[in-house]
Amino acid sequence: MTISDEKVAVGVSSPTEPSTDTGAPFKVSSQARERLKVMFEAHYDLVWRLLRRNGLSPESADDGAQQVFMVAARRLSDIEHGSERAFLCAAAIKLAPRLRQGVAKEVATDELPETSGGASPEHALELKRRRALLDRILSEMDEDLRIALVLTEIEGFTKREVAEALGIPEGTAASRLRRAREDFQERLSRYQAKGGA
Amino acid sequence: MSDEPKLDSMESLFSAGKAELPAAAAKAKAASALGIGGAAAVGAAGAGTAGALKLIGVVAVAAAAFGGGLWVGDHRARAELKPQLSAPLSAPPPTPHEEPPPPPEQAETPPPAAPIEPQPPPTTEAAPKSKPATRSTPGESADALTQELAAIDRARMALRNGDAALTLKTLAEYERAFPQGVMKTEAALVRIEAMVASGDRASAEKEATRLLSSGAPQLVQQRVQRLLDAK
Repeated sequence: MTISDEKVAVGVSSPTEPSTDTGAPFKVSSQARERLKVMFEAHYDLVWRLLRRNGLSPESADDGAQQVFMVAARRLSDIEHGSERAFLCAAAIKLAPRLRQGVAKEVATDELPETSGGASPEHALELKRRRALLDRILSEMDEDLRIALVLTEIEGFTKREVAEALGIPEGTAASRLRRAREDFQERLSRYQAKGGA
Repeated sequence: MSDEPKLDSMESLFSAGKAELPAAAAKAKAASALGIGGAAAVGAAGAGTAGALKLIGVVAVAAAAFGGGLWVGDHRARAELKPQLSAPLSAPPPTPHEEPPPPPEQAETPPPAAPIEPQPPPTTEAAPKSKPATRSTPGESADALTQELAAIDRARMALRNGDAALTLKTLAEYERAFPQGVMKTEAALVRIEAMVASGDRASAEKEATRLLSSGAPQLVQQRVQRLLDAK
């Protein structure tokens, strides 16, 4: 299922507006609410991570993920059963550039608090370092390749699922993925050669 | 002596990306804004001290259910979990460990070494904490959860790679290592999926029945049904 810009745009607040924070519930039927709840539980983390890997800070991704689900809530009747994940991914991918533009205080890198909870500080630091490198490389890639790579290598989509989410033929998805992997590896190797990794 | 830089592989970077989790509070806020804040908000921080590990399990199941992997490496997820992990996990069990010393004829089992003597709990801690036998400190609890999540993630990866046999083997190892694990429900779901994928429908249905008869919540029931309906 492909998501047109119009379908995604309608109902999305301007990135500069604060997220809906009134606590007022959506006025949807109980059946629709149940469906939305299942979608939310199933795919919130995926949507959030997609936004993160498309250049948003954690805080911006929080707002962005909420907006994606707001869009989904308004478009529930348009979303075929079984295509919820594809819809949400497509919405997140389309919204990410707008959300990036609208945020004045984009944070370039994650910042860990002083405490590292139950995990060792070394482990937490290592994850942070890897994630920063991952995001740096991803940000340099062409959007099409980046998205194909993120969906498969990070979110576990099959090529068919990538094709469905992006509205492209499966062969195109496969080709993008192959090129994306090559591109990523090449960039990673360059970073490592320069000592930047 | 030069410092050999550690060379990252693509896979290690992807794993780090996969391991990142949104903050539970933000998720709960979004759920509330959408009007679905009941069950969806159950993973949020501040849910109270009682049943903290069960809370972690709910967050973990909800987050890991769709192959995103789960890792307690995200700073905000861990920061959210930390209050629960460090707080007393539950009220002491209703044992008479705070009662005055029992009369001599009842003192045979607990050594009356002190006026307030905790009954021997499942764990070795003297403090009145009630927690699974595999975890005795908050730090160990978080480490064990991290290991559980990693095991489930490995099983899911094997399944994605089409190796149902390896998936089931990984899950069997998980069960042995974590008999009281908080990810047991997720493990069962992955097991059902692997059984369906390998064509062993009878086992999948048996596993599904076992899971559903344990009082699984509605979301889990729906997931089970979707797995069984899959080709």
